[in-house]
Amino acid sequence: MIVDESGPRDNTVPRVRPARPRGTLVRGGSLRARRARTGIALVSPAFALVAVFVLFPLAFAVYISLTDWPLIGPYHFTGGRNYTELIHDPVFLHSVLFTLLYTAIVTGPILVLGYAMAVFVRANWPGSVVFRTVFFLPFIVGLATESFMLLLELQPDSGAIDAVLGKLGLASSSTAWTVHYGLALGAICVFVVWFASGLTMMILMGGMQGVPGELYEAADVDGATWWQKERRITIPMLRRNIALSLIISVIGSFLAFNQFFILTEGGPGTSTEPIVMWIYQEAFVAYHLGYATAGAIALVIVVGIISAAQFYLLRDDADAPRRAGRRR
Amino acid sequence: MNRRTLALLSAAALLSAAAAGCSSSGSSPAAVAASPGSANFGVNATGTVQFWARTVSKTLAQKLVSEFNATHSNLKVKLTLTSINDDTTSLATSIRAGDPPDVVGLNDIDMPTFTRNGSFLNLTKAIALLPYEKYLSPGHIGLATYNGQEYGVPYWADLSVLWYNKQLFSQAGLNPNDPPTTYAQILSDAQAINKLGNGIHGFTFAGDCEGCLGFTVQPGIWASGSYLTSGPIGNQTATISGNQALVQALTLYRDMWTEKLVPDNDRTDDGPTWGQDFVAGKIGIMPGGYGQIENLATPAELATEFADAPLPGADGGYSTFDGGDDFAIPAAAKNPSGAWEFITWVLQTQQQEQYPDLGATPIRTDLLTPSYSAAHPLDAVALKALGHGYAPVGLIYNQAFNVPQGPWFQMFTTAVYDGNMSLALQQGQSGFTQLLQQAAS
Amino acid sequence: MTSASAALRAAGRPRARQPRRAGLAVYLIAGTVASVLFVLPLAWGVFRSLLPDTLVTSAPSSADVHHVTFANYTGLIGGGILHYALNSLLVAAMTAAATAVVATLAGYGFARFRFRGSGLVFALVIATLMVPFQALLTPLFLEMHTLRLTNSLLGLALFYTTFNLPFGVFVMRNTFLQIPWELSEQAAVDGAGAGRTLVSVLRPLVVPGIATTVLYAFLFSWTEFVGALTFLTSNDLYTLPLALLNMEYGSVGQVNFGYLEAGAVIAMIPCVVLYVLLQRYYIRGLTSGVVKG
Repeated sequence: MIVDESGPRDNTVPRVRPARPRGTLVRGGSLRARRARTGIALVSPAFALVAVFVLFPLAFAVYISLTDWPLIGPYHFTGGRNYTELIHDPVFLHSVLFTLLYTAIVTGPILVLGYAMAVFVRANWPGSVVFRTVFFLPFIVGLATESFMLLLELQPDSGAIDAVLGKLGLASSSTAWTVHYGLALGAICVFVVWFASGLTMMILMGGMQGVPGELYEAADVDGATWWQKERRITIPMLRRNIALSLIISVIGSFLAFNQFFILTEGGPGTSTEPIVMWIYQEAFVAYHLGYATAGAIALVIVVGIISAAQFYLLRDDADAPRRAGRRR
Repeated sequence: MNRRTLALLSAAALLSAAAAGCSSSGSSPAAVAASPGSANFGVNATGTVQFWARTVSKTLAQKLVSEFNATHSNLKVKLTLTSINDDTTSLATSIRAGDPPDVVGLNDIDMPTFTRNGSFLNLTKAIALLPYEKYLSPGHIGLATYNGQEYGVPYWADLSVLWYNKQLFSQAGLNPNDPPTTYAQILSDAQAINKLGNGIHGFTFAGDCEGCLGFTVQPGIWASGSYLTSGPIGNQTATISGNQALVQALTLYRDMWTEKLVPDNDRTDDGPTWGQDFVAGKIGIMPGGYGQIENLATPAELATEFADAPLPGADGGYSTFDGGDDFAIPAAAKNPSGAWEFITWVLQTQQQEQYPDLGATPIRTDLLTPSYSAAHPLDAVALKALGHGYAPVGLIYNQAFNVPQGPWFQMFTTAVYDGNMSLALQQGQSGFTQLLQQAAS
Repeated sequence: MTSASAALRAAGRPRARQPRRAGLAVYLIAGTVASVLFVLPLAWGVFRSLLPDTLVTSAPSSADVHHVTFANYTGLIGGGILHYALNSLLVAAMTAAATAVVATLAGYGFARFRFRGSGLVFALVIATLMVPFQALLTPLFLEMHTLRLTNSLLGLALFYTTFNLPFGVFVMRNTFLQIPWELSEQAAVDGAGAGRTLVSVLRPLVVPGIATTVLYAFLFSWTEFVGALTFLTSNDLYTLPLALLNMEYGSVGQVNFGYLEAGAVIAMIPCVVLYVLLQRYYIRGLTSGVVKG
């Protein structure tokens, strides 16, 4: 251990510098305890908010899912009945499959397009600030508003999309997008990729600017191609950013609601009804809050498992305070 | 979990418990004597009245509230407009939290959900004291009644009528003062107008808007004395199979669709632009709401170009959908007497007569006098139909009729767009039966 | 600097910083084409917002240009839209500020300090991202009502802050992890405490992360609808999305698309302004020349 006596005594700064690799506990209980307390103090506000606004209602919601809670009036404890009913509910199961399909379709393009845009704008060339703003604009405006705008333009005969496609001769100008499963799904997927890729771009771009320029220059000396540089330098350094954008994108797709509610109302029939819309239907139209909450809890669990898997697969070995003395 | 967080959590929990203990659940002492039926209920009340109204009745509610506040010095009404799709939920949650409004304007088809569990004050005795009691809209009262007791009164009516374009009628050689009174006439009139060409169509309907269709298609069925469900709540059955009136109604719409008497984009109209083609002068006949077109069209157009008639049954007769709101006073209201004073003021003739210009129809049939008909010819048609009006009393209306996944819309699309009537009836019967059984359990 | 880059400079080979003319031209053209395609739907929406309601819902035609009007905007402003925009601004500002503070503290705590349960607490905070709060609305309302936080802009801001924490904490923790350990050690050598270390030494490196967090939190609360709908019960406090919805919807579910498009444009403005203002925090590079040796 190297004890640093060179400065004035200060309670909150470690006065010992671990010379051994991570994993060896530093002796000196009171200092460790003090640092631990500081750490706890720092994270408490966040944890308090989460406890009050998420964990407690979630626990309450679990309780509700075990009852036949109606919109108004008395309720009774029913145990796991809601859950067994869920597994046999064809509408719920269909909504799960549909959500999975939708997620599978949009995740890749969002990441790839976002990455491409980030590469395009990261270099601070003239005009890149404008491009950056434009690419992010759809995200800024918001999905709900844009869904309404899209609804208008998807109308047959009066919408802009049919007008353009009709003029270009690509499709009939009376195509009714929102009432056919394939067309509606296709339109919504393109729409969502346009909306969400800007966020991916921002997340990745932030990380890209943190990559030291010298690494690229060193690679240039070795004669690396652009793609090799991306693969060997950028992507590994961006692991956490890629992880974040993927996780946000996947979770967002799983929790998708606004665009379907506004554009298709889950129709035709229930063919474009994602899980959260199923929950909404059961809770606020059929007034089966207990049953709906059971579906919601199931959704939380599924999303949790998938996100945990993503975290695990995309984990960084340095996802803990760094080893001393070693620069990345 | 570290201790500090645990402390924070416990504090939050304690706070909740303490706040719940000295809760706000209507513990302020209401005047004991003022209850429905007593002489001082709704008389000389003081304080504030919290009034929640639906945003669709915004113009009406704002006008009424500001007039009331201007003419009452000791009693003030505070208006809150509840948002689309959220009305019942916010009411229910507020009741659960023990902090409901004093009076609420609730969508009348949602009343049965609340009347059966003591959420609302029993107003039967107070209603019996009203001089115009027997003229109150039967459809609205029916929805507010449970086990013979009335838990609400009508507030305003949103009725469906048959709009038509007098100018297009004349152009097509039809008599503009002789609107159709049977399905056959509707069809032939629409065919005549469709021949005018030039982007004109004989008929229109919001083909992807299940709620709009429920509002405008069902009255024709009721006019023939037929209904889609029957029986008291808790023991209802679906009467879809073999329902001739239903078949006739669906066939009419099927014919309109196959003969191209309606614009193509009716198929995807799910409500937001419903009625705009009619108001633009391109449609001959359109079943719709009185208030809907009254809002969309200009006064000049309403005076000269458009007219309305009651929605007919297949071979005559007429009916209307008793939409709109009922007033109700939550049981835990803090100022029920003040609420009733406001309600009875709204039900007075002077206030009711302002309704047509605000896009609503009044809810008292005794208002249909010759002078009213002269002053409000378009609304007089609706008001006349009010006496024959109906709205299904049940717990499943939203699920069955107002969502695309519901059996009503499924039945409609199978019959009208796919042309398979027998399958449609089958799906309707089983779909409705399933919902009714679920609701009864 | 590494010896490699020193060697590069010595060799006189130009650093790939400034593009060559031809490359720049291609870049600008490609960028402009892509931008136009991207912004076209929104620009079209702006154009539609300048048309009267009847034209907005008809097929687009070149004759529309003659009917441009500001009627939708005056209608919205007359309906009091600015008051609701102010409510939204207040909530968004509170949310952004609270999220920045709480997330920075927590991010710092998770990145730099070790204590029992930190992994679990971190996981719980991040897990908030996975919870569809539509499912929690009833329990949340009841709980917030008991805490007197319903029908209050502050309560709404606290709610929004919580749901922005996963993103914010993740970003801030990441930011702190990327900072070389030597920096804070240096600061310690120079005698700064943890607080002063955080503020004076680390701040320039930390600011881009904070900017991202602030932007995201602001956008989230500016456009959020369902929570506002549930927790705000008096019209005075309505935020912009709620007010717009109420102004846009007529009876029978009709939508005034002119108002909708104009409302979208009005709602866009503060977000774009904030975004442009925060731009400069992204441009600064992170690690160039800060660490000596």
